[in-house]
Amino acid sequence: MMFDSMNEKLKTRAAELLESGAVSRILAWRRGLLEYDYEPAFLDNADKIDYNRFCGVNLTKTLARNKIDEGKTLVLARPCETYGLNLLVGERQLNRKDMYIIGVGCPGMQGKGREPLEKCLACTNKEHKIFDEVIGAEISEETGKVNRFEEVARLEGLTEAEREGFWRGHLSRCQRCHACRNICVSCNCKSCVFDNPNSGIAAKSNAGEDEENIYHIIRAYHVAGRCTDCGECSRACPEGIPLYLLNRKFIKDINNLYGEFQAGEAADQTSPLHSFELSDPEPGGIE
Amino acid sequence: MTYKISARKKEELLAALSLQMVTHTIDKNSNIKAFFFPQNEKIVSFRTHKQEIEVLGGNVVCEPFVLFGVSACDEAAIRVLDKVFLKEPVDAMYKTRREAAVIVTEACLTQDDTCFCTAFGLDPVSGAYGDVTITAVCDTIFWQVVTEKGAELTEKISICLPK
Repeated sequence: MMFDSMNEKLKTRAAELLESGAVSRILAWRRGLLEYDYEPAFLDNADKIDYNRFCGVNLTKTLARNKIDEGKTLVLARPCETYGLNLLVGERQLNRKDMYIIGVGCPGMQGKGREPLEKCLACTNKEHKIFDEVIGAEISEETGKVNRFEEVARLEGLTEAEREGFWRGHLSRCQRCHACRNICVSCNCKSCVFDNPNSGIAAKSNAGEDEENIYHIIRAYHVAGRCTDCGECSRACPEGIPLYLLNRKFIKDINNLYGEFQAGEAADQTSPLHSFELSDPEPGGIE
Repeated sequence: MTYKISARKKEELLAALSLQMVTHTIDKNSNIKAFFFPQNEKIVSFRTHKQEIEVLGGNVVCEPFVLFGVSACDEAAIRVLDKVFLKEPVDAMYKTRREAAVIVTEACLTQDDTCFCTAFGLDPVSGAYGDVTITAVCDTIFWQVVTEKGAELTEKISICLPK
């Protein structure tokens, strides 16, 4: 079993790093209440490392939310995590020297019923983009069989009314729980516009269709060009709204307008939306 | 009073219910909270003219509706809420929606790691909850009237229910 051998090597290596004082803690996963319920956790003991198919949750946000001043954190990072880490290091939200990153292999994660997670179906990010060492680089070919823009293209082909019907059918269930925002790696404003009572768009529930729509449109715009397509927003949504479609539409458009761009590919790259080139398309040149 | 219907006639049954009133089919993964507690609603409206305020009232109107396929745990939750919201001072908005609702529970033959109905003394398989309780087993749907409201609904669709 892939996980058994990987966990063995991870435990050994992590124990070495802890003992030598190179790292002060490990950021990995720990089992929650139920067997399919794993959560990010800071571990003080390498033996507690338990990486398996139910560890779908992306660790990057946990690292970003828990600024620890002393010592390095050993971070287990799958390719999808490394994109988030690069993004935050590049934006100076995380300090590279605070982390010791071990890239781990990933065969694709599963949900409660052992079904592959939506975000893993279209996984294109198979290489670790930032790491100090890699353990278990074997990445299964089971994931990434779905073209991530396929569903976006299908929606683009619908009439406006059909597309509106599609989105209304989903967004009408939005509870404004903000789980999507809370788990999003790109969403790291200390003072979020949706928490600001003066912004006019802060709300604890949606009063009507407009509010149901606008929250998601605004959030998609705010992370445009920075979204790494990690799929966590959709996984966290309690109503099963396919938020990833909004973000992928933006990525597709950005690719078309500015050339292929993947946020988090490198820590020192600049998003096309945060830079100006003379070759940038003119306004009005967009359908 | 219990009726036996062929499972093949489920669509007919739902159609007959829909003819009488709006019928919502509830699946096991959703709950009925939103039917009694919408995310938002108008409580009151008022008009001001200089120093005067005219309160226009916030009467909630709710057409009768059927919730079809509610699990025992969900129905029990509504009964707990009734103890709070139907007790003086009565929440008029909740009461209006509560009275408009006809609850058709369905015997729950599945189990999840997070279920705890039996811990609260509920019988998900043979308990009679709501206004009507249905049990779908193999090719048969058993339709069991529980309350008067359930009897009234049954009367309205009796054409579909063999004696």
